[in-house]
Formats: sequence, C-alpha cells, structure tokens
Amino acid sequence: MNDYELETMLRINSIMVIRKLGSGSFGDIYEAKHMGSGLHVALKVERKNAGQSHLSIESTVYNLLRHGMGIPMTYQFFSNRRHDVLVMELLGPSLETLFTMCNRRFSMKTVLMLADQMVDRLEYLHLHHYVHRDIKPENFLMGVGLTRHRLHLIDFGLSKRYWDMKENRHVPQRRGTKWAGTARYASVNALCCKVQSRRDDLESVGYVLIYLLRGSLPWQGLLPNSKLQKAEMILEMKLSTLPNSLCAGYPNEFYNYIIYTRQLGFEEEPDYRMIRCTFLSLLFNLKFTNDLIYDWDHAEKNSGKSGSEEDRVVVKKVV
Amino acid sequence: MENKEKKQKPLKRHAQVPLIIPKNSVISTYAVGRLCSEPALVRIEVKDLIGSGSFGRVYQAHVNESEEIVAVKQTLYNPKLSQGEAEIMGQLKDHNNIVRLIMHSSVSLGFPSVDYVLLVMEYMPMTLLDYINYHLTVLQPAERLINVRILSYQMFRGLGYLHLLGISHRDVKPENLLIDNQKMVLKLSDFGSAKLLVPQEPSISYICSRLYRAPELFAGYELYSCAVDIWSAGCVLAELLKGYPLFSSHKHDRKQLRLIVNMLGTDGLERAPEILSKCGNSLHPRTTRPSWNYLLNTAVPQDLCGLLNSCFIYEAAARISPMMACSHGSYDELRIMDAMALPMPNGNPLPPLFDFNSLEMGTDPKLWVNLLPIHLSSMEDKYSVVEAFEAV
Repeated sequence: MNDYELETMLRINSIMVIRKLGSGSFGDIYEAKHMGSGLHVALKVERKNAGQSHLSIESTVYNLLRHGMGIPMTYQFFSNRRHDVLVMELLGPSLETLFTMCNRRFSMKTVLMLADQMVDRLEYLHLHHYVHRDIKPENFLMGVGLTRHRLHLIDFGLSKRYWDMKENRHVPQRRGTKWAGTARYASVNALCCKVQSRRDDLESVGYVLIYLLRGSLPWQGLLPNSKLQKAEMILEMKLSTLPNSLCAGYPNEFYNYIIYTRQLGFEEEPDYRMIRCTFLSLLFNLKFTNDLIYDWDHAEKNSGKSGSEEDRVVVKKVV
Repeated sequence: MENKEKKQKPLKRHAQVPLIIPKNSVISTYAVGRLCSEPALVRIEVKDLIGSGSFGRVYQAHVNESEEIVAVKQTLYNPKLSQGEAEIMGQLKDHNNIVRLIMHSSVSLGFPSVDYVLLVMEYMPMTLLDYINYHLTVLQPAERLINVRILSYQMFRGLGYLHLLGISHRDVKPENLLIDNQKMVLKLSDFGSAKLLVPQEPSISYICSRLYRAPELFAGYELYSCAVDIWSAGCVLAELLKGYPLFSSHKHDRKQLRLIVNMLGTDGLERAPEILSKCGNSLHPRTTRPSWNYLLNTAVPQDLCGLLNSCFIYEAAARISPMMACSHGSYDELRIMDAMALPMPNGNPLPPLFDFNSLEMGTDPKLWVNLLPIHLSSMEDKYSVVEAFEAV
C-alpha cells in the first residue's frame, strides 16, 4: 500500500497494515492489526468513483446482521476524500481456496454439512429482508480459532432489499434491470435480467453445491468475445442443461433441490426448514455424522504427517 | 399407623435439624401407593445418603427386600402446605420425563418422635448439574451439541405434560433435573414447589431458585402463569451451552432484575408493565439483545438462538409453550435420528422421545406436522417436473 493519504487515515485510527490478502471487483482486502488491542482485523478498501459506494451499502448490511452466527463482526467504517474503508473480523480461507487445496473435489459428507450451513446463513439474511445476489464459493469463508469449523457468508456489496419497508410488501417484478454478480453461479432468472429475490440466492447455492461435488459446471470453459456475450452463452447453456444430467450420479436430493428452487415463485418464501432437513436426512442416511470435520481437516493431518517425516530426514542428516 | 424400628440407634436430636436415618436402617410402615390405593405394609431398607438440602434428605434404599434401588426423600411433615408434594406427584401418570413416585408414607422417627414424610421414587444416578460440571465439558463440540438437544428436548417435554395438567413446577433448575447419562434420559424431579395454578388466583412470588427465577417473580407479581417455568428452562438451556449459570447473583430483587434486563436488553419490556415498573428509572435506554454467541461465550447454532429468544421474552404470555418448544426446528435433528433409528454419539439408541400419551396428543394438531418424526415430505412429491420447466 503506497497511498500516503490512506495510510495517514489508518494510522490515525491505530491500524497498521500487514499484508494484502486479495482483490475483489470493487476493492482490495488487507490483513491489518489494531495497535491498541493487538487484534488482527481485515480491511476492505474501496476507491471512490462516480458510481455508488458498495462499501457503505455493505457496512449497512453488516450492521443489520451483526448478531448473526456466521456473519463476520464489523468494527469500524470510515472514509476520506478518495477511499472507503471497512474494518471487520479476520476470517480464514474461502471455500474456493479449500476446494483447490483438496484437489478440486469435496466429499459428499463435506458438501452436505456445508449445504446445511449455507441455507442457514441465507435464511438469516433473508429474514432481514435482504438478498445477497452474489453467492459463490469465494464468498463463503471458514472462521479461525474457535470458529474454525463455522461457515461464514461475506461480501454484501451487491445485496439488495427485497422488501418494501414503506408499503410493507415484496418489491414488484421488473424486467430489463442491470445484472451484476458471477455468471457461473447466477440463477436463470438473474441472467434473464429479472429482479432477483430469495429464490435466486437458493438456486445459486444449488449450483455451488453441484460445483463442489463435480469439480466443475457444464457451462464452464465457454469462449465468449465479451462479458455480455459470456452471460448470454451461460444462460443458454443453463437453459439447455437438464437438471437430470446436471445432477447425474448424485443423490436425488440435489436434483429435487434444483427443481424446487427453479419453480419457486418470485415473491414466495422458501421452506428453509424442509431444505435443511432434506440435506440433514441425506447426511444421516449415508451413515455420516454432523461432526463438522471436513475434507481439508483430513488434508491437514496428511500434510502434518509428511511434515514430521521431513523433520526426521533433517534429523538424520544432522546426525 | 403402626411403626416399628429395627436397628434404630438413638441419636441426640438437634432443634429443627431433620434426623439423619443411619445406613442399613429398616423402616416398616404403611405406605400409600401411587394410585391412592389402600395403605400396605412395606419394609424400607435405607442405604446411603445421596443428597440433602433445605428440603430434606434423599437416600438410596431397597423396598420389600427387592434388589431394585429406589430413592427415598425425607421431609418434615408440614400440615400448612396446601398441596403436598405427594399429592402433586400422585396426579402424574407415568411419563418418560417425570420421576415416578412409587409410594409415600408418613413416619415418626427419633426420640422424641418427629413426623416426616417419606417419598419413595425411582432412582436416577445423576443430576443435570453433575452432568454439566463433570461430563459435558469433556465431549467433542458436535457430540456435546447433540446431547444438549436430547436433554433440553426432554426437559421441555416434561414441562409440557405438567402444563397440560395446569401444574407449574416452579423450581426448574439443573439440580432438580435427574438424568441417566448412559441412556440420555432426563426426568423432572422435586415437586416440593409445584402447584396447580388457577388463573386470576394469586400465588406466592418468592419461589424458584434465584438464578432461574422469571422476571415477573422478581417484580413481586402474584398472578403469574406456568410460563415462569419456561424462563427457568431457558436458563437451563443456556447453562447447558455455556457450562455455568447464565446470570450472576445479586441479593436484592431489584438489582437482580436490573442485571437481567441490562444483560438481555430492553426489547419487549414495554409489553410487561409489571416488570417495567420495578426496574426503576436507572435503566439503560432501549437496547437490543446481544447475540447468544456473545452472551454464552461459545458458538450457538442459529436455531438454538431462536429457541432461547423464545424462552427469554419478558411478556409471559408471549413465551413459547413447552410443546411448541418440542416442535421447534432445534430438534429436527432428533426427529431425523429417530426416524432412521440412528444411535447417539455414545453408541446407545435414542431414548423414547416421541411416544406421546393421550393427553399430549390432545394438543394443537398443527403442531404434529413438526412434532412427530414422520418421514419428511419429499420435494419431489410436492412439485412436478413439468410444472418446474413451465415456470423456468
């Protein structure tokens, strides 16, 4: 970070940047430390431009959800002439990172335990009248320390309220709205440029689950000439891919889930409890226990063993 | 009644201190069975003393030279009590989650003789307090969570049966919840404070242990309902998750009430004016409830958070009812395990959780959709493929 003005603002707030963690479509993520308390935090920095500030929207949503399980804590939001900064709880790796670490394949047990938590997080978000609109593995993070086994939902920069607070009813359906998000996991209705509602978040969860099980999705690998054409090609591929072939080789519950989310009405409230019970029943049916021990926990054990082997080799060399 | 004492050692009686029955004493007395049958002569062989408190003492014992271990509770006979413990327990039919009263009797012991009431009950090896202190902490988090659900479900179910009879326990706390930690069975015990609550009839408000007392009792409100037990049950559930009591203790009722309100926030307090008037004007301004992860300093699943919030409502009428609590989503995992005959983490089968009796089955039919472990409706049955494709 070489922006003097931004560094000054952070120093005034007793925050020291440690390293850069990654970049999003709207800003950068840094690991930082609060000098007063020694707490390690995550910084989300967004450069101001002519467009709407996504980070202020995100900060509002985080404040609304602040007591939820699986929602990171936000500590501060401040801005200067050119930047917005959100100081929040530092979390662990994302599902995409863990997916790559596990050779781009998750076991059925891991996917079902994650599915239960994904639906739980979305139910909590929808309970507060917001839809996420950018469900993807990169936006699901595991915790650190005591919350290491807990799935967190992040990145509410594209979130939108689906409930009209003044008229106390669902927002109406419109067509022709600008579409934003990740085309790979977006719902069919989203790619058709319709207003997104609760059903679209849940349909995205379905695609994420299939992706984690199969390792890829049929509409990956297309070669578009532009971003707009990419979305059109993905939409065409999604419409032509039957749910049967999408979920072939996996339990019926996933096929039923895709069908259920696609047939949900625009204003219809999903039956979260039924969905979670279905995945939980499947988990128990396959003789797994809901012990929150995932594939990457086993991978860590194996790497631990190989590490100890290396240590032995070193000891031999020294001797 | 004829009283005989064998091997009874004469002990010097201290004023107001109940007599300790020596080990291996044998008491012959006429005891009344559970169904209020004619008194019958029984021999009670008293063994170890296993508990004592302000209520009296509890011993292990054998009855009629049987090998079965029973628990015998000895309390001073008090004719002023309008509804004795034996009378309350006698009304309770066999229920999985309520300690069974086998028989009771009045005896005169010691010299000079003092009248006592002996309650012969089934024996349970452990209290929930012992379980929380010595067993729960060594479990893995997932196993601990399953056990919390199994035990708290049975607590609510036992309270549900009581409340359907119009009886309020009025002293729900871990010491009064007996469990078998191998079978994971939990039973309500100690009905010394229980009462048949009649609407619009005042009851004493100085009741229930301090850490588990509902806020309307601290406020001195006397027209309370069975919902005071729900607040206590919420405290027990929080203690199961936290490992020690949720609230700390203050001597004064107003201070205790203020502590509770400051901890849980003032949301909903305006709908409970009898509590609000007692909080005084030194209350913090309107605050929302902190998250249960913060209050309990541990990871609490969202469904248990919802259940806790339903218990800790200041307006007593708005608190969740016990049968509604049993139908809560927090216990769906148990229904699935029961439907699939899955064992508990310790390898034993689930205790009977869903064999409701006729009184419990008379409750609201809407509850049954969520209450019974019937096989869950499949998404495939609800929505046909053709309709789904037409919708797309």
